[in-house]
Amino acid sequence: MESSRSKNQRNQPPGGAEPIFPNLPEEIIVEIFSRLPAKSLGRFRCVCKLWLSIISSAQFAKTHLELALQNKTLYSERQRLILSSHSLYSVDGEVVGCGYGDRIVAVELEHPLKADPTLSDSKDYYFKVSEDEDDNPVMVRVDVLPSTNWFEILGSCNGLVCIGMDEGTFFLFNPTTRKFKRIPTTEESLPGSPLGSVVGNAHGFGFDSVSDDYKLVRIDVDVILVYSLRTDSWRVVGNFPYEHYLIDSGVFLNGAIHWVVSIEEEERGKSVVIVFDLADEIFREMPAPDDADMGSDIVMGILNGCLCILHCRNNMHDYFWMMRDYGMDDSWTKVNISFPYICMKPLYMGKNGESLLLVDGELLSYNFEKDRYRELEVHGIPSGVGFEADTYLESLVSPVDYGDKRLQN
Amino acid sequence: MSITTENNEKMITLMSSDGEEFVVEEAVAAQSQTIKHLIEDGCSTEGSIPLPNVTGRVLSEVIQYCKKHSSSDDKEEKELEAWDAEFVKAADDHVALTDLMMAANFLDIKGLLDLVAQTLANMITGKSPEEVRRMWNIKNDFTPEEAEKVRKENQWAFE
Repeated sequence: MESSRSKNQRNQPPGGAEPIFPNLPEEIIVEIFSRLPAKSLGRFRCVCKLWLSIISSAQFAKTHLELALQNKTLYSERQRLILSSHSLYSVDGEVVGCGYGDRIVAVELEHPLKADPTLSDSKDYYFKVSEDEDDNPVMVRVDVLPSTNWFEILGSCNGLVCIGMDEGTFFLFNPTTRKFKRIPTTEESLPGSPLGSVVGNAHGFGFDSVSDDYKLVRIDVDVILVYSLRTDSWRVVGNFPYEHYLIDSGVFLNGAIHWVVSIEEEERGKSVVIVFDLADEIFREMPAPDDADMGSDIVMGILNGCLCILHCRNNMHDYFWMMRDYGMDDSWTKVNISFPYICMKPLYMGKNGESLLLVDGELLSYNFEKDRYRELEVHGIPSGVGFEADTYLESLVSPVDYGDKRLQN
Repeated sequence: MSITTENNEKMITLMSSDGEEFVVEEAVAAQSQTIKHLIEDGCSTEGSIPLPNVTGRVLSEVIQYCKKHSSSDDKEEKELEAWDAEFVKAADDHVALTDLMMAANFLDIKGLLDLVAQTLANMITGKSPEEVRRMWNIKNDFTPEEAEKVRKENQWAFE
């Protein structure tokens, strides 16, 4: 047993000159490191060559991520908020318990897209947004970009966030390490194919644990395409079996992307949840709650690991639906809330029902148990243009050369 | 060798690397997957189980942990958490914790490994590379150019 010999050498009074860590077996170092936050690990790459090599390996990034996916405490400690408008922003600190106070300070991320002059021809403008206690103006720098340069958050899964920019330009981004990869367009992957319509397409981003691969699904009117990060290419996997123009992004849960569509049945509209399994790449169905007035302006969301159906356009509503046990049709529960909304995206639920929601363009802290809410002021984002929001898991996973074991991140 | 107590509990003798013997109930010792497999393979019938990787001092701590965790059920989760916190606090410093972690790894006691690894991780989370090097006696083996490069590549972690 290798470790026993090195241990005996090590067993000296503390403070001796004998180095301690280099004698520890790598598996022990990995056990400790996998419990550290990503930022500590980034710093510890500078400690010595051995640490750099351990922390930089793709295998370690995976171990570190998987521990957070299994361990509830680590999972909530590593949740972060990402915001987007004409740029990308992160909010420092844990989303856990949603203990942000009333004020959220968004910091613009140093993302590579920002520096790419072909993607933006911005000029700096300063706008006064408010005044501080001494009546000094509080200014923000605003990148005035062409209106097409909106950063749409298509999904977030296992440490990577999928960002959509102009029609057909997508990126995978690790907001923690700022590692970033452009996804080839469908035209680049499938030359000559008559795809790439600008209307009637929708996306869903998730992780397929069977093939250990991140996948982006695109429903292009009636064609299903899947991008695999491992192969870095798109494939046509079949025809979309519904007569329904999908426009909203699907949500990822339990290895599948979920949308809600409306289908004709006995001459009346009926909502159904369609489930695209990322492993076998087949659509299945789950019944939506049987509620006649849901109509077609509904969208899927996730709260506390449960699928939700929420209203997303036009009219005010003061409830949404939640599937308490995944796949159990009779577990759809109507959740009443005290504020009416037109459009809502649940972001996170911490302990004791404390939640973060994006409601009609505002971040709302809402306590489901006490039925109490407060609006959160967001600073650091140009006002008036609105923003999108999502949560991501802090990780070291790199979208570059994913799955190539010969390479290190 | 197996002794049976009044309550009909089967007893096992564990021997540390420095020759110290510990007589414990089989249920306590079986918290260690390594020992459990040794018992299942019949290795305990011929006298005590030798544990060449673990000193008596560390083994007595490990046994303390195993005793506590074999006698508690899930209802006492909160109390057990508090006990765990006290237990790692008593282990004192990172050197003692490292020894404990090596033992937990060798003996394959998942709960103890998790506990000690998380404690060590919490100890170093907020530290700078320099502080960590001092703490663990690690030599900085980067050339100034290499150090500069690694630091630059990981600038995000210093903000």
